[in-house]
Amino acid sequence: MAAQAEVLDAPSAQSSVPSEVKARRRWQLALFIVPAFLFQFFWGWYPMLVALFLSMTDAPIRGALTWQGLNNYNRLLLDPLVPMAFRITLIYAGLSILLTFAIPIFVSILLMEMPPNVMRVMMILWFLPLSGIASTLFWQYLYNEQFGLFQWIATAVLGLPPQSFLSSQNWVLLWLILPSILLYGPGLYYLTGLQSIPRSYYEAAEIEGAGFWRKIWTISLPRLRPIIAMTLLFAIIGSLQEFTFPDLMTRGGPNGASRTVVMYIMNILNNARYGDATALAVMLFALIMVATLIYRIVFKADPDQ
Amino acid sequence: MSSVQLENVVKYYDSALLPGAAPALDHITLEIRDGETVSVVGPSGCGKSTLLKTIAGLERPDAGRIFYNQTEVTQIPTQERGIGMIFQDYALYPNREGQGNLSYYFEVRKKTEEEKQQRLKETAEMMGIGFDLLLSRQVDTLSGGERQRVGIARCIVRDPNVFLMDEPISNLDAKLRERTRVEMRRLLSKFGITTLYVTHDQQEAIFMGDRIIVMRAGRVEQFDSFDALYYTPANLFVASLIGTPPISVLPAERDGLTLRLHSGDSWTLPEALAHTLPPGRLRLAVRPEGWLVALQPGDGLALNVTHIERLYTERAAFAHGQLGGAAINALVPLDFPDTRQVFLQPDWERSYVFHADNESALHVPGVPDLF
Amino acid sequence: MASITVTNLTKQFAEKTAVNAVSFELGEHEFLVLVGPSGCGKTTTLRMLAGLEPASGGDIYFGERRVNDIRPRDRNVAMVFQDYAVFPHLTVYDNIAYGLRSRGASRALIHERVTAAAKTFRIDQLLKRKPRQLSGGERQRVALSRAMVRDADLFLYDEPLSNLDAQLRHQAREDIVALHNQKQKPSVYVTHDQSEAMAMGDRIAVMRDGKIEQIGAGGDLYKSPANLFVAYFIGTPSINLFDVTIEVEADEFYAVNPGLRVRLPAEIRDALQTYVGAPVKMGLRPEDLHSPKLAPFAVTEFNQIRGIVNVIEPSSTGCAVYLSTIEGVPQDFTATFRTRLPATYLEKEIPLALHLEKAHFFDPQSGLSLLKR
Repeated sequence: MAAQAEVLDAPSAQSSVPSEVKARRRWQLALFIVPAFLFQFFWGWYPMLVALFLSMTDAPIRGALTWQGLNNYNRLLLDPLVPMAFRITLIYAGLSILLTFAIPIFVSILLMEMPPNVMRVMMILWFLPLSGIASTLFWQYLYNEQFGLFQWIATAVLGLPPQSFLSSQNWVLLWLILPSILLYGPGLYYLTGLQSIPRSYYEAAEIEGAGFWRKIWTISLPRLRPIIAMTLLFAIIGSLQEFTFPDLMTRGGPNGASRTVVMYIMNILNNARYGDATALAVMLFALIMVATLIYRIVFKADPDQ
Repeated sequence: MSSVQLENVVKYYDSALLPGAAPALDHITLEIRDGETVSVVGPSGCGKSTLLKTIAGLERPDAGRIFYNQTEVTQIPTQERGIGMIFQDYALYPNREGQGNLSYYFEVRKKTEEEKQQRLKETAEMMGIGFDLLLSRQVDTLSGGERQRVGIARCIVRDPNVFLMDEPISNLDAKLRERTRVEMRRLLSKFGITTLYVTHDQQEAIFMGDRIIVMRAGRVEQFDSFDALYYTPANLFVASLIGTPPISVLPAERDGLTLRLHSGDSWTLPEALAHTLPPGRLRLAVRPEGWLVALQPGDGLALNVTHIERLYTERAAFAHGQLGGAAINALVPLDFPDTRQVFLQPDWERSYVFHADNESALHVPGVPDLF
Repeated sequence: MASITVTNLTKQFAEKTAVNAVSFELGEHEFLVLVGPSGCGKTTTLRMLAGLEPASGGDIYFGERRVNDIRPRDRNVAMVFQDYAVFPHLTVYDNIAYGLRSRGASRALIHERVTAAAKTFRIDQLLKRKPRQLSGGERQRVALSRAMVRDADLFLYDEPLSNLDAQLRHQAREDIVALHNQKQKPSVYVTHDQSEAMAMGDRIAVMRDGKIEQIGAGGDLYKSPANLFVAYFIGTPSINLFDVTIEVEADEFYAVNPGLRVRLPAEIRDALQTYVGAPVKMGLRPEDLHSPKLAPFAVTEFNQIRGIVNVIEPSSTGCAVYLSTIEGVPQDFTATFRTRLPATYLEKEIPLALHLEKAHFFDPQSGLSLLKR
């Protein structure tokens, strides 16, 4: 058999691709890439370079630019609210990744184990399409300290003393993140990913003696890994730039306890300190860059290679 | 109807920029005669589907020319070449009934109702009994074999120059495949349409093709009748691909009249054969029916039989084992005794010898004179 | 003592009875093949044996143990899947070791078994690779190795060869036989390919519409099919079936249709007695049609058929000739020869001698065989 396999697989001396064909293919490939490249340049790299430049000027809305060198950055480093905003952003990002990214993986896996009809109902409930503003109003009602539903549950049902929810400096971040478990969930991606895993993998594992947890650990999670990697990247980038939801819910309060970097940038802008705002944006960009690089190192290879 | 010629056709895919890339079609020159059915067989990735698509015009060659009936069509778009294509997934328009599928061509070509009815009627008559019943049914309700018949009919109404089929029946189950291919073969010879038939199944290729193209790595290894491929293969690849159970290949070394296997055992070659072979490393290849199988040692080498497979349906049995590092399947009579050991010698008249390195044929049995 | 006993096994899906009261026993070291067209219930039967599909009725016994309500992982079966179900993110080694690890085997035992199995199936050089780098044949051998390392009570195979190229199938068949011979355990093998079934099974169960039509050794199914379906299903090319009427003339029995009038052997008169004047189906295997000059029996005007040669299919042992009759409604039939028929016979009319001692007769309504061979 050895000899035979050798015969069938034998790659005979192959003629290599002539250079004019390669040149033509390169040219064709270039034609495909150019539009994307131009788009990326004008809407991605060019504004970035401009921002980097503006961050070293006073960046007035009108009138002449004044070169500031690193003055903007120096000023920001001396501002105690800047490290605070970064700290809050990092906590917010960490918590929201933990809750909105990790929990749906397990919920999805559990959903997959349910009968199809139960799963369908759960999916509809979970991924109810809600508009952002409407759901903000809804959650503001839930968290309301006088007649909100949660206050009622806390006092009337659980018999706790009145809670401060969004006005608690210590807990406000957690309360802000909870809704996104339901609103923004990559759960749908996970479910789609799970559904594309061949059933025979689970059946083979079952026959080979694997229990519930072993099946999840050795099949579901590794097969989901590419999707997990993708949503994690989105979650990192998205949560570090979080703005809309906390701004609508708390406007950064109480006492700046929920003021993220982007919200602080808005504050500075509102004070017409355009150069400082740009410099802070560049700093946030650097943070995201570092986070992405760390991510790239951790999630390196395709699990199937 | 027409003949098809390919002249030095070369096709590269986009992977051409990757290191080690090879052409999908590597200087293919061949001629398919008018009215002939030619099957194309080869391992996956050998370029057989690319060959079909290039002839169809779905892929443009990077070099070389294609002719239908001596007229160059290299730059002519697919829809103007007058071809009929049938694919694995039937490619019928599912929400039309069989008749709608046939008449679609006339609708897009703006032919008159009269022309249409006339041609439909002719086709249905030629397709044989019961075909008019198929025409009135929705495609969804047709079985796989029936769909293929409608598919063929759809091509025939257009009076194609060339028929191109890519694995048209590999979705059907075994018994249905057997029936459908008889039907297709008969229709094709009745209509006398030049046909290229791509398949990965060598048995189907043998059945369907008047001649067979064997492809590997973008090149035509051999293009000939089944008998020529079977008895006079150009190289070891062709010999291994054609014939089931597959030919056994034993690496060996010739020294005078002695042919020594890797295991150290040896046979004595007949003088006439020995003189035609170069000394040194060779590959001996023997088909299942090419072994002289004995129960007593004599000139034969001992083969430890792992298992005797008795095929009542083929009125034959095969003794399996390993000899000199190669898997052996030796044809024995159906009533051969259950034994753990037999003694083997190639029937030198029916054995094949190939070059050890480039695997070209050094000795082949030649087509036997049967009548 | 049977090691696997299945009685009245039934599977009811929403609207369809996929498996209908199937019963069989499996000996200690027996290799049973379930064969039938797609949708006949063979795979569902196999999945019920594995526990992947709950049975709607009937019993499955492994030895004395009724396993109907036992989970797959506690049944101790090994299974080779059609798509191999080799985990793409695990190396070959980890794939083979998967079952042993699930069951908490020692590291040394795992290493010993995995390397031995990999060696048997010639993948010992590939243990560190991921499945994507393997060919289809190699992946299939990973799946076989995974079954090989287990001490299962029952080995199940779900069409394991259907995704392989023809040239690899023969070797893969030998590999499965090797696995079976080494494990010496009962095995059930599902395929739709009757020639694969004939090559592999100690016994073969032919299934149709959720029922076993006949179960027995390959040679028995071929020589004495219980009914029309089994006769047609087993054998390539398929058995020739002729619609004939039984007529009696001067104490001789004849099978008659517009293109055919043949005299039947005396031995089968009793069996056909009640069918005189009635239509029956006469079946003749392609190998029982002979060239009149080479026939191993006396050729008379009453055992011949004439046909036009449509297709000649060459094979390594001779050829198969596809013909059709001329008189009346053209009817297709097939003959296989030990020699090659030259292409010059195409479109020609040739006579063929029928070996009527080998003919089968079936009731056209029930399909049951009229002869007890």
